[in-house]
Amino acid sequence: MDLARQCDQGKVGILLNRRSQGYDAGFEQLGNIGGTVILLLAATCLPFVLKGYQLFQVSLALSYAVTLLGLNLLTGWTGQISIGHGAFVAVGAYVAAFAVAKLGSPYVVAILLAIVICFAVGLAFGIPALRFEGHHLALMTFVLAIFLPQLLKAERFVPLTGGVNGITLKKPLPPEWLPVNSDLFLYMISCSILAVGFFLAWNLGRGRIGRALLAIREHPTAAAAMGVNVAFFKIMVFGISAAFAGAGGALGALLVQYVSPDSFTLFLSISLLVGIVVGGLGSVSGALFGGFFILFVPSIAENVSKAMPWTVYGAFLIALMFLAPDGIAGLVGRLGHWIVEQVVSRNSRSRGTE
Amino acid sequence: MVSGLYASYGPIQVLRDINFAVGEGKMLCVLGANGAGKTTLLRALSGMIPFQGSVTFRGQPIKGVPTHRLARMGIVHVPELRGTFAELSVEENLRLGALCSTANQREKLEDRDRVFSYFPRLQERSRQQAGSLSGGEQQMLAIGRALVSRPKLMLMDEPSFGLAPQIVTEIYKILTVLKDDHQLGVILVEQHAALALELADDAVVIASGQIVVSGPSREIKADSRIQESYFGAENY
Repeated sequence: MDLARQCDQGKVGILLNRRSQGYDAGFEQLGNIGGTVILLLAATCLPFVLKGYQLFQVSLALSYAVTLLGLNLLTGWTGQISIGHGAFVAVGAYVAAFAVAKLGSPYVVAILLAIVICFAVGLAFGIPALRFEGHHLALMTFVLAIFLPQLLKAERFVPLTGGVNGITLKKPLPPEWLPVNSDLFLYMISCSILAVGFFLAWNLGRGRIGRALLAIREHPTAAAAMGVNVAFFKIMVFGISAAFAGAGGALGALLVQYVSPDSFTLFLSISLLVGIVVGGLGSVSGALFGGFFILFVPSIAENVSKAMPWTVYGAFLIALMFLAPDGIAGLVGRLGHWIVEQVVSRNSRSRGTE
Repeated sequence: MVSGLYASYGPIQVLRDINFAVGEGKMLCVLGANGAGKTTLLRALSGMIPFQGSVTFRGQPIKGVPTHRLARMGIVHVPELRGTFAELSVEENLRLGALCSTANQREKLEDRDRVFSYFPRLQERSRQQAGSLSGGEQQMLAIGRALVSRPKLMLMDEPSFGLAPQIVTEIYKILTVLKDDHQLGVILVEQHAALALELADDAVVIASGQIVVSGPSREIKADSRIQESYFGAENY
């Protein structure tokens, strides 16, 4: 019966993929180590291949990935939907921009400040959100996404936010001891922040806390009966997820060197949601794929058809849902599994003929 | 120990003046027709819905204590339809059960192995997702998961629901063993009256939110009047 329920919710992909049949822990660990090595290699090689603007785009995709890591903890793990996460990104971006441009604080401090403030805002939002679930929570976060850009434009806050003009930053320069240009420096910052984010989300997701969050998603009543403080975790995960969004937003602000209310529309929030589903709900590596999807697929679609880019985008999205119901991360996982299986069976076959 | 418990959903009064006590290592079964308020009683006792009256657990009043806190005090609820976490593996479900256990890492492993010794089938399937288990295995898992939290009182809501009779008998047999091994108090809500009365020490019968009969299950079982009026003679 539970299986049928999950199929209804379209979760069957996850069910098939996540350590159910034939997926033993040893293989999973091997896959994780292999994936990490490939990622590190790719991250080191990219700057040699890509030019300035392309490297900037990759950095921007990485900043989205940081946000997605947090949104995934909230939606993928705990099952709380947010269609207003762009608002937390906006808060992070503005805090960082304000700190750098108006207070003249160092970049590291600005990013940390954005994280702390977003964490607090997320907690504050999580408390009233506790009363809502499902569709109601979605509507409540929707409100957040539509009202914040207007608040940022408001006359009253112009000294803080710069109103419609936003805040412009100077391009961050690498320290003198580092012989790289500014684009590469920003790319390195992006990679480091994402790496830290990965490490944190990974540890949160698979340990005691991750299990408690999954339990809340699956069956809140039973989770409480196991001694999980459901309210506490729900509020905390809102805060943590907002903190990730804050880091992503702050990073984005440093990359673009400009923040304006119109960069944080409802469309950004929806795109983020698309990002975690396409990347892979409940999968840490999915955030990376999601980040690249958000940034590159719209422009790829525009290259395919200048007249109807969103039709192409939509077709691509639907195709992906059919091909990778458990997200790109799941697809890559299955592909990896298949390759290993082929290699193993070929080896055993060749040994058999000798 | 429950005395004078009242509970309601909004304006609808569900339970009225419920009184009973359960000792350590004793099993009390709560019988009654559909809608009598059996599940409501368990939900009130595990802090999921508010109630009036007084309930004490090992000498401490538990009114207004939230569910997760009660779980840490040793009251564990095995909800109707088992409530196993379908997407987690058997092993992970058991680890979640031990979340609020005060045992150290080694003792937790021993607790887990003890569950596996009661239910060997769970060990065979420890890496499998709980959602892919059969109904009976999920019920075993739900009991096992409750057990690793080292409870003092286990609230069980219709463990026989939707299960084949042989499996129900198997599960109940183990339940009585567990109860004796761990000096566990059990409050068992059950539709399947014959079996429940066989195993339980005491029984209460609820009808329309009130206790109409209570006493040792032997006596209730022997009382043909009660059988006819509340369970219908054909159930026997």
